[in-house]
Amino acid sequence: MGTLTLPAVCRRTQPRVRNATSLGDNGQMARATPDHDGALDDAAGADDDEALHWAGDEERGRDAPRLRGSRAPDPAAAVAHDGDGEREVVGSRSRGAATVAFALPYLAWTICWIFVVQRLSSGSTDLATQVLWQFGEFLAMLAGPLWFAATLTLTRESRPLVRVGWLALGLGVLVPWPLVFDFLVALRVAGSLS
Amino acid sequence: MIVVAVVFAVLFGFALVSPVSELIALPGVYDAYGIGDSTPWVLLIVNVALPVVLYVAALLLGRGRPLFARALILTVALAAAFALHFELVALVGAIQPALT
Repeated sequence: MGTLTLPAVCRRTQPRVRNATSLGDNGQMARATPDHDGALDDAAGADDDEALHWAGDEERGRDAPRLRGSRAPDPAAAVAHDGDGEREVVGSRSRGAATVAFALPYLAWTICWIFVVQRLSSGSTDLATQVLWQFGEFLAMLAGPLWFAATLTLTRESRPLVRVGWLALGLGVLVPWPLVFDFLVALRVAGSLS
Repeated sequence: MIVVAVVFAVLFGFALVSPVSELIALPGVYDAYGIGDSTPWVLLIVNVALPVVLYVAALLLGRGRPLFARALILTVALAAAFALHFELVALVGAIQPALT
């Protein structure tokens, strides 16, 4: 029975396996000697460590190889994360304050619109027109609460200023002008009487 | 999404009925009372344009958002369209000259 011989490439790479059995040059199964195997393994490990580092890692506090699951915490990233958290807490408080500050005006607008709707009339006897008019009145009454709720829902992740802007826009758009005009007319009448 | 857009297009169409009828009828009424020169054309046209503008704005604002958010924005726009219509009706009545 003849002896097996390995190509030169296999013989060169084989010693990297620590404590593995390998075929010797003479083709017999042999145990790798610790001295020969360890020297090559240490050299390969140093090469791997070097390959897993970037220039300037030491200055940034990263001295461990960038292996998945063994990444050293980045102090700069930790500080940034803490800063984001603080900003988020402040933003959440601001959004909450804006919500509370605008809740009362929206409630007042809603009550005013209920009064406005009581005073409006389509002036038509047509059933379809009356149904459409009352549908419009119903939605006009709900416009304030709908705007408020939609703003709260859709600006949950937005900056506080965005929420304040949308809430302020809603208050401006939904001013109950019919009631304001009636109030002005009443004032004028009262002024002419006195 | 297309179903929601179509349903709200119909609802915004309802919001257009009253402004369009006012745009057609009010100038005649003003003429009949001899105040045809004071016809508030700008307000009447804005009254008709508002539901269309709000519908398009709501569609644009809802782009890229989930279906619920789009429907919510369209609902708010519809309610605002009706509220603004009533505001404009009140404004037209407030600036109307005294009838002779």
